[in-house]
Amino acid sequence: MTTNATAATGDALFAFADPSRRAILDRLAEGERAVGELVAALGLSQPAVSQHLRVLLDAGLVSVRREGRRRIYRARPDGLEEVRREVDRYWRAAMAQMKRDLEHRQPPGRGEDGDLKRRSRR
Amino acid sequence: MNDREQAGEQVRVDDYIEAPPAEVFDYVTDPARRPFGRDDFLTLGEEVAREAPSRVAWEVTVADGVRDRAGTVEVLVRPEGTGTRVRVVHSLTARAALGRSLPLAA
Repeated sequence: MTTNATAATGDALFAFADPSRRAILDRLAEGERAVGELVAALGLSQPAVSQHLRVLLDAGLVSVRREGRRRIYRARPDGLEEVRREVDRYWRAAMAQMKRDLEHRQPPGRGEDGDLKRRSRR
Repeated sequence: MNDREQAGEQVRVDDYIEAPPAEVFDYVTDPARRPFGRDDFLTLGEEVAREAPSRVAWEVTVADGVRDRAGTVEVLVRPEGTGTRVRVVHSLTARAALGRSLPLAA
């Protein structure tokens, strides 16, 4: 994974973990919303919603378009799916390493000493 | 656990390892040995649960360590045959996700 990809995934992990941002994502998954609509629906302050949307935008989890003076936001399901793929890849690699480490360990009484003991019995 | 959580909020990986559960548990709880949680992709933060030798969980830190509470990682260990079934559940949400993980038999 490149450093940029790592940073982007980290941003998205951080963005997604927050309950308020997940609530915003839930609303946007239902359809496009302007900031004011999110404020009314969620009971958060406008500055708070705007700040959360900035984090979600930076993380690639939402997109925005202009409609006159309004900024309309929508969820980017692909953004979360990309994060899931990276996390899944990370853990599959870690699991494979765990398997190698634990299955290739030297059990007690084996290894060079064990080989010598076996040889001495022949 | 509903479909949305399965699809969006958790990543689960499991595998069979030919080693005793206690040994697997010691390995995953040893920061010097485990091959995860100490790199620039993902850093483990506070340990939030430990039920030796079957379950351990941490909060996740990402990036430079400032951005904490970026989810949780739970490792579940269960005897299976002559070895161990290991499941990693990475919840992309914060601590509230703990306690909702599926049993290993699922």
